[in-house]
Parts: sequence; structure tokens; C-alpha cells
Amino acid sequence: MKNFKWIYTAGVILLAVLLTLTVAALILALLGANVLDTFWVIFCYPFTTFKNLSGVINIMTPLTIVGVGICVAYRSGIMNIGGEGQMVMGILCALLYSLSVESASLPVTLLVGILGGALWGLFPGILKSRFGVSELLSTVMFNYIAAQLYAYCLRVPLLDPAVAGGVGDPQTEKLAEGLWLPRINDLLDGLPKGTRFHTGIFVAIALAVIVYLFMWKTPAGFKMRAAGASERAARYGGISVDKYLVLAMCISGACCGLAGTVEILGVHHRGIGNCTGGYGFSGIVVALFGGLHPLGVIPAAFFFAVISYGCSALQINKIPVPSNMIDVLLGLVILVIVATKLIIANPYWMDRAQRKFTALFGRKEA
Amino acid sequence: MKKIVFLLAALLMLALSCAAVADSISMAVIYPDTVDDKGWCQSMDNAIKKAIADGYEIDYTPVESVAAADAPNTLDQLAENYDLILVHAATYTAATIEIAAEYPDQIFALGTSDKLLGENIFTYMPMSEETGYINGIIAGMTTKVNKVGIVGSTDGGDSYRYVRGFIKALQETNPDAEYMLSWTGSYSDTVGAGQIGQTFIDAGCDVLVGPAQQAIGALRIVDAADGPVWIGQTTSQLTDFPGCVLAAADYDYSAVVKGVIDRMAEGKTGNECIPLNYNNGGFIYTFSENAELLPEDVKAAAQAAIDNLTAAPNTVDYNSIVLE
Repeated sequence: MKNFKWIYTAGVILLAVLLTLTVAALILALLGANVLDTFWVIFCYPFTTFKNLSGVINIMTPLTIVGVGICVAYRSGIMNIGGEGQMVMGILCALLYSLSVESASLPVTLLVGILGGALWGLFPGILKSRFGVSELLSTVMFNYIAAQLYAYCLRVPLLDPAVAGGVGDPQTEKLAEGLWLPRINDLLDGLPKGTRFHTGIFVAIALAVIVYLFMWKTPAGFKMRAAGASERAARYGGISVDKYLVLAMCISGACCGLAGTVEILGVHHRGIGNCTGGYGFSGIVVALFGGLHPLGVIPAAFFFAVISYGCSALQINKIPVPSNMIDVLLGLVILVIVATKLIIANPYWMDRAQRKFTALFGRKEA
Repeated sequence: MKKIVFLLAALLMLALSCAAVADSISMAVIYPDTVDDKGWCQSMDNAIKKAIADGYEIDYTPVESVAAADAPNTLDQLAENYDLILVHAATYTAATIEIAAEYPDQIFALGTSDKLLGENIFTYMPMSEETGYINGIIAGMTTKVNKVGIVGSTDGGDSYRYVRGFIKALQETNPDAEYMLSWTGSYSDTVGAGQIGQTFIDAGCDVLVGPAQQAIGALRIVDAADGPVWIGQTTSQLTDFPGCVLAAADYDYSAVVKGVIDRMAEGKTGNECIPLNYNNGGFIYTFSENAELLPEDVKAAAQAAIDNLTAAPNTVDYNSIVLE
């Protein structure tokens, strides 16, 4: 049956959507919220004004960059759970440079952030390739180290003198305006007020394209993917798997470091506590949803940003859903999306479904 | 004549109804946690509901669990849609200042901060050195082994003031008393607070205190230890742990909520810090009824100090304390 793949895909998606809507509607009904209003806010409200769309793009930017980095690692056969720590180290290095060097410039600050993230990816890469240390363990531990190091720097060497003496929250001084990523409002006239998204989105899209070209159109990228697809076969083919594994972690870390730096230079304009926003972790889900493909990450990140923005707007729109349950809904949607993606991609399940379908509805494929 | 009186009465009613509408204020409040967190956020939520019960017409929209990284986006969404945006965590300070500059006609209130942050930003600050001072008096008078443990959260904001106010009173009341101090580094790390509390008890401390919602972790350890006692801060912990809590201070932010709304009614838009202290009813102090736990002379000394601070606020020189 030539069209079975389409029927199977559409059927799985339809079932997943129905399942999600039913479970979510049940939860919402139990909470006493209007189901249709809630869905409208989550899925449609982000598109109602340019200001809202601007917020979506600001969430999408770091998600895209981290997602691309995660793709590189996964495609090369190593699981990078350390995106959060690599983001933090990128931020920390960018802050150290931009706050201590008077002639700091935007491109160099971005580069320093990239190097900070790459360095934090390098160590788990070496530990894995040389000593066989599980990257799951090492990257998580490196997350802790980065978080505590950042917290210390924020409270002691980089502390803004304005909040020294116990009042306020630990933060750094504001970065010089020349280091900020320009906002679209600054570049184009006539945009509505509240258009806060910045040029980081172009950095993110350009990065996705560059990484795609590198991974799919260059010999080094091919070798990295080959090492990820089958380590033994790659070794047999003469590929230095260990070298490409370390390189993959460096590139992955560099992307995460860039994501953190872009977030600081585009949104916060200074170092603050918890400024990664958990993008280092949610970027993993984005990468999986994007099919572990750098270009697939772009729409995946956009979709996640829409849902994330919509969920955060529920209380603002007076939808009576407690914030804990908003996280439950968000988690449910993400879980179903990722599960659906995996079910569709699984040839064994599709084959089983096809056999049952054929047995039920008629003639076999010649 | 009757027509004129009727017309005047109608106009008066119309004016009154208009005034009532004008008095109604739409207010969004950004919280770092949920409003049922038994601590920081709940105290503000309770205060707003209390202000509403006291006759303030507030159309209240809580926005819970906003991460620091999401604060600019959230504030941007709220701006120009509410009369007042109350930002209830110092962690949002940078974002508030930035968004407030972009929306000069939008009024913000930010806590905790004692700084003047802009023409359209009110700030509010619990003068927690006052509650720390009262707790320090009780600790100094009740410790039998002269060892007191302080389970700190982070050395910033009102915790900074609380810890120093506590130590000042402890040293004034009982110069022989030693204190042990350790920080969890978080306002919400109850597990870390429990570990520190256990360490202090093992080291021989018989009186423990701690600021912020993280302290509940240490309080549970004290309650289970059967011997050491606790002096509360931030929430009324007396009712939950009556067997070991000598006294507890509660924040009543309605003084802040009412203060901001009253100032807005006067036409003010910000650039002013509203304190929370005993003088304006911002702190409510409750003693244990158990006389064996809290002797009358200790209670009397603490009450006298509260009376003094009520009459003369802002007199605890907490900055004179240098931590060991």
C-alpha cells in the first residue's frame, strides 16, 4: 500500500492530538477553567499582537541555538545533558571579558562566550573519549560546578556595587550599550511599541544553516555523523571516533555558550541569577522534536516558544489555572509531541500497523 | 425646588459612583513561586486580600512562578494593561528597571529594595533587622548553653538585615552567647537548611533561627530533636510546631499595598521607598502561650523592645555588625 505511511502518520498525529486535548480538557474541567479559552490562549494568543510574537521570538532564539548544539552531539554519538552548564560558562566568560576589558566589542564578547561553552564541552568529551567516563554523569556534574562558580562570581568578583551591602539581588553591572544585540525596533522604524526581539534570532538561524552545511556537506561532518550512526563501523572505516567525539562536544558546548551569551546581550544586558531560564534542558526536547536536524530545530523551537509563551500568558488572561498545573499541561503537550515523533519514526511499529491494517481492510501490496 | 434637590442628589450619586470607579485599581502581581507557598508569596497574596477586605477596590491578577529569565517578557506583556504592576522579588529588579524605563506611564512597585529606582517605581523593604532584633533578645535570654545557630538563606535582601539585627540583639542581651552561622545560598532550599540545622544541633546549639521559607527544613529537624527550640521568622510557624517554637514574626504586606495605592490616589507615581516595620503595622509578632517554653520575663523583655521599635522605627544599627 503506497499511501500507508501517510495514513499511519496522519492517524498517529490525530490520535495524539485527541489524546492530548482530552487529557488536558479533563484537567482543565477539574480545575474549573474554560477549556476553549485556555486552548485559545495557549495556541492563538501568542499571535494576536506583534508584541506577543516578539516575546515568542525571544524565547525561540536560545532554544534554537541550544537545540542545534544538542543535535551536533547526538548525531555524533554522545548525549549532551550539560547544555545548562555550558550556557552558564558562556555567560560567565562573556561577562568576565566585557566587564573587565574597557575596549570590549560585541563580536569578541560573542566569541568569548562561544569559547567558554566550548571549554565546558571539551572536558566531558575528553573524559568520555580517553577514560570512558559516562557523559551523562560528567555533563550533569559540570552543570553543578558551572552553576556554583557562576553564583560565586555573581556575589563576589562581579557583584554590582549598587547592590553591595545586602540589599537587592546579586547581579553584575549593566553592560555597555555598545555590547547589546540591537533590537529590531532600533533597526527598523514604524514597528509597534513593545517589539523587544533582538537580532539574536538571525544569529540562531544562521547558526542552524552553518551547522547543517558543516554536518551534511563537509567530510568532517560526515565522519562525525558516521561515528554517531555506528561507532564500530566508523572505526573500521578509519575514522578517529575519539577525536570527532571531542570535537562534537566542543561544538555542542560552543553553541550552548553562544545561546547564553546571546540571552545576556539581547535580553538582560547584565548577569543575573538563574538567567539561563532552563533553556539548556528544554533545548534537548527541541532537538529531539526537530528530528535531531539543525534545520528541523528552527520550527521545533518556534512551536515550543509559542506553547511556552501561551502557557505563561494564562494567568495574565485571567484563566484560573494554577501555575503548577500550567507546567503539567506544558509537560503533557511536550511528552505527547516527542512520543508521537518517536512512534512515527519507528519502522517496526509502522510495519505492525500496516500488517494489521492490511488484514482488516483488504489486499496485500504486491 | 424639589426638582433642584432631586437633580443635585442625582449628580451627587453619579459623582460618588464615578469616584468609586476611579478608586478601583487593576493590579497584577508577579511572584517567584506559587501564592500558597506558606511563605514569601503567600504573605503578599494574603496582604492583598486583606486590603480588599478592608475596602480597597483592587482588581487583582496574580502571575505565579515567573523565572528570572522570563521576567522581561512577563513584565512587557503586563505593561500598559494594569494601573499597577507589583513585582514581589528582588530577583526581578534589573528587568523591572529596564521595562519601567520603556513604559514611563506605567506604575510599578518592587520589593525588596530600599533604593529609589525611578519616577514610576515604588520600592518596599521589610526592615527585618527589627524582627531579627526581637528574636535575638529572646535567643540571648533563653539559651542555656550559650550556643545559638543561625540557618541563613542568602546574605542579601531582608535576610541580610534580619541576620545582623539578630546578632546585634544577641550580643547586647547575652555577651557570653556564641553564634554559628551558615548559608544555604537559597531562599527555598529546605533540604540544605535541614542539614545545617542538624549540624548546629550536633554542635550543641540549643536555640536555632533562620530567615525565609527555606528555614522550615531546619525547623522540622529542631522539632524532631526534642530539646532545642526555634524562634520563627517570615511565617507564623507557631501553629504548625507549637512544641518547639518560642515566638514567630509575620510580615503583613497590606501596609505596603495600601501605602502604594494611597500614594497613587495622591497622584504620586513612584520614586519612594515604603518600609515595612512595627511602626506601620507591617510586622506582627506572636509569642508562644506555653510558659515553660517561653518564660514571662523573656516575653516581657521582647514586648518592651517591640514597643520601643514601634515608637522609634529604623533605630537598629544592623550595619554595625561585622560577621565572623
